[in-house]
Amino acid sequence: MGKLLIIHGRSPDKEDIPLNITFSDFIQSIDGEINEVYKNLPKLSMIFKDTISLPLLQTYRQNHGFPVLSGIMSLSHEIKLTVFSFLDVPSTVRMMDTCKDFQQICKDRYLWRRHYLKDFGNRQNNDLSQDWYAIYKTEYQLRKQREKDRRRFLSQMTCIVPPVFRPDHDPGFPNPLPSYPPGMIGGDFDLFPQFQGPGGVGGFGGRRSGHNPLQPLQPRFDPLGPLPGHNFRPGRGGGLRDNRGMFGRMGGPRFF
Amino acid sequence: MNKIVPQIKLETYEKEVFEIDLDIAKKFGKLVPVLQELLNDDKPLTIKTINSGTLKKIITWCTYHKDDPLPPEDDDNKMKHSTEEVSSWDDKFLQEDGQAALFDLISAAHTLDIDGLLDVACKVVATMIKGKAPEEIRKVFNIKNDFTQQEEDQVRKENDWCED
Repeated sequence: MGKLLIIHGRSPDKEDIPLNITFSDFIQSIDGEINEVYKNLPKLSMIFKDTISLPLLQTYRQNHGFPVLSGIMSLSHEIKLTVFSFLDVPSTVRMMDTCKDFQQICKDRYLWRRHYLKDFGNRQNNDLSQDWYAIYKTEYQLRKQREKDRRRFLSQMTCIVPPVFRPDHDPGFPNPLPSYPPGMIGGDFDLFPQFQGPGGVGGFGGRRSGHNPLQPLQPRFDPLGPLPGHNFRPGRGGGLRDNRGMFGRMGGPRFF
Repeated sequence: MNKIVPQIKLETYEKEVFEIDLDIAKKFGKLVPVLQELLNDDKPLTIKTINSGTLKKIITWCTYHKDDPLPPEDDDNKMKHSTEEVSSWDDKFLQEDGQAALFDLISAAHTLDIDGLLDVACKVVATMIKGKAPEEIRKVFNIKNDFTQQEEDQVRKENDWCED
C-alpha cells in the first residue's frame, strides 16, 4: 500500500498548502474489523491540524484583522522576547527580515544590551534608555573593520626574529649568561662591548665594563629624570646646569 | 498502606477537572501563594486559557522533572543555565505533538509561571529558528510576510551587516 493522498489547503491570497499522506502510515488492513482498519489516528489529526487547518484559520484571521490564535504569532510580546533571547546574533537579525512585528520585537534594547555585554564586555555607559541595537551594530562593524585591517597588516609584514645569540661577542669577556635581558652592559644584547665612551677608558664615567672581566654585569644607566640634587634647567634645550659657570664647566657634576 | 497525598483541583477550558499532587502543584509559580486555600477548598480552580491536552502535558513534564534542582537565582549562573542544551527527553516530549501544541504549552507555562518548562520550550523554538533563512522561517512558522517588496529590500540591506 504505497499510495499517497495529497490534500491542498487553499486560501485566496496565499499559495496552496500541500499535505502528503501515505496510506500505509494510517491504515493497517482493509479486510479486518472496522476498528482494526486505522492506526495512528491521533497523529493524523495532529498533522492535519498543524499543516492545514490552523495555518488556514490563521491566514483568515489575519486577513480580517483579528488577532491570531495559534502558532508563534499568538504568543505574547513577552514570550516572543523570551524565545528570541535564546537566539544568536545572526539568527536574531534574520528574524527581523521575516515580518514587521518581529522586526520591532527583535530590536528590543534589553535583548541587544545582553548581546553587547556577552560579546564585547562591559561598557562605561550602561544606560538602558539607549538604542542598544544601534550600539551593538556600530561596535560590531568597527571590530569587523579592525580585524580586517589587522589581517591586511599582518599579511604585509615580514617576520622579524629577535637575535638570540651573538657568536661575535667580545672574546675577552666571559660568555654572557643567555638569560640576560636587553639593556645590560656586557650582556647578550650589548652591541658595543668595546665601547669606552668618548673619553677613553673610564673617561665617560668609567662605567663601561666590556673589557674588564673583573667588573660584574650591570644595568645600563639611563635614569628617567635628573637625580635629586642635580640642577635641572627646564624647557627645550635645557638639561643639567653647571653651577660653576663658563670655565669650570668640565669639572662640573658628572652624570655618566 | 496508602498514604493520602494532598491534591489540588484545576478545571480546564473544556471543564475537565484535574487532580494534581501538591508536590507537582508547587512547581506552578502562579499557584504557590494560593496553594493552602486550594487545598482546603473542594471547588476546583478554573483556568480558562489552558486546555486539557496542554495541562496533561504540563503535569507529565513536571512529574518527570520533579526532582530537578531549583534553577539558579543569581545572574551569572542564570546566564550559564540559559546556554545549556535541551535534554533529548525534553526535546522529544515537547515536539511530539506538533507546533500548535508546543506554542499552547509555552503560553500555558507562562500563565502558570513554570520557569523551567518555559525556558526549555523557548529553547526548542529557538533551535527551530537557528540557521534558517527568513523565507524558511516564515514557512516553518506560517508567518505572513507583511513587507512590501520595497520595504523588504530595504530591511535586507539594513540587516546585512551581520552576514559574512
